[in-house]
Amino acid sequence: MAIRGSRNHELGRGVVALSRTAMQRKRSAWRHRAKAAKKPEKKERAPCKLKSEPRFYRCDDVKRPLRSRKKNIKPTRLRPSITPGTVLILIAGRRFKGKRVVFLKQLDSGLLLVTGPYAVNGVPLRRVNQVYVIATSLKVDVSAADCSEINDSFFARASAPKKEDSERFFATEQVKSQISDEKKETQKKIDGSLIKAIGGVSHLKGYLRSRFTLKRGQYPHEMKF
Amino acid sequence: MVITDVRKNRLNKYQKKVEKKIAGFHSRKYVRICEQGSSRRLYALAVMGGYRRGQRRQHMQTALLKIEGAFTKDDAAFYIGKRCAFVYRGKAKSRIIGKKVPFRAIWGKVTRAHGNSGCVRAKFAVNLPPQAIGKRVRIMLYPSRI
Repeated sequence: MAIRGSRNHELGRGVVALSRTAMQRKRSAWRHRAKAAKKPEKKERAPCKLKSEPRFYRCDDVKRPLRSRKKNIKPTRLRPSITPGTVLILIAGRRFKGKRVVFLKQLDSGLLLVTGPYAVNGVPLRRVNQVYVIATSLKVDVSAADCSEINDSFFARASAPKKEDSERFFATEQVKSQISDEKKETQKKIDGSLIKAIGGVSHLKGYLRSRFTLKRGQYPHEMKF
Repeated sequence: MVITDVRKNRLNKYQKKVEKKIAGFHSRKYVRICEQGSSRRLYALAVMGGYRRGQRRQHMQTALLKIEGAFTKDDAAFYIGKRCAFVYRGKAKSRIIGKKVPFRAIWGKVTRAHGNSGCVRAKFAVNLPPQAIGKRVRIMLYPSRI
């Protein structure tokens, strides 16, 4: 079937009799092809490294020890919404549910180091798992607070002196865990530098003192934190 | 009703008292009292709609939850993976973190969305009892992904 305006003809179903080159020859366009676009220059590639195949393949099944986790311990991936200075909402925990706290840094164990600050809302230096935390978009300047010395060892329980069973059985006083003066000092030191930054932002202190709560008509999936 | 300063001068003694009371509601002391009392909810509200089922038989391992305020599959996607609890009363008091309370809970997890209209499937540690149908189930905000 002839194609209108062309010296080509269709064999049927979109298949054309003469190829592009054949058509060019018909039009003697091939004489002008040399003036067409230049080919791109060949980039010099680095010489391929020959992969050397091993000369010996084992035919027996060899038991290999499992990979040791000790070699490749990475800290838990921190959510991108959590950066030093972010105000977090604690969503679990008996005492501090709903409290808004300031995030300081991620510890080696992967837990987050947070502080109320204590003077503002009663939350001390504390570790919390990021899964029990909602990150708000509010950031506080924590550059002044130096928490580089605080690690997981800071939160290790002080081992109580061991008593004999009989002593423990007859003991009437319950030994309360006391917070060491060292911890209190560290808390004051860090909070001191934070409270200045918090005071600078209007309403921030009141915000950190208040608790987060859901009310009727408020749906977490609709909220932007 | 906003009472302008000019009108305030013409208020009688009783009206001035009321004005003062309203101003007092916004004071720090009153706000703190308000906060202490009421809402402390940190979970989303849902109702147990029934069990996963075909027309003629049901599978009680999976419960269907209708989440308040969620009407699309995208809304429901927020709650996937969240822990949920069916809280109910018992006659005998059981111990929960040092206290003896008449409340008990069956804990579970939201597994996936159910349909296109905001419902969700959940699996519990123990199958939910049929008494739970139509009752409140709490969907916690953890494990959080925000």
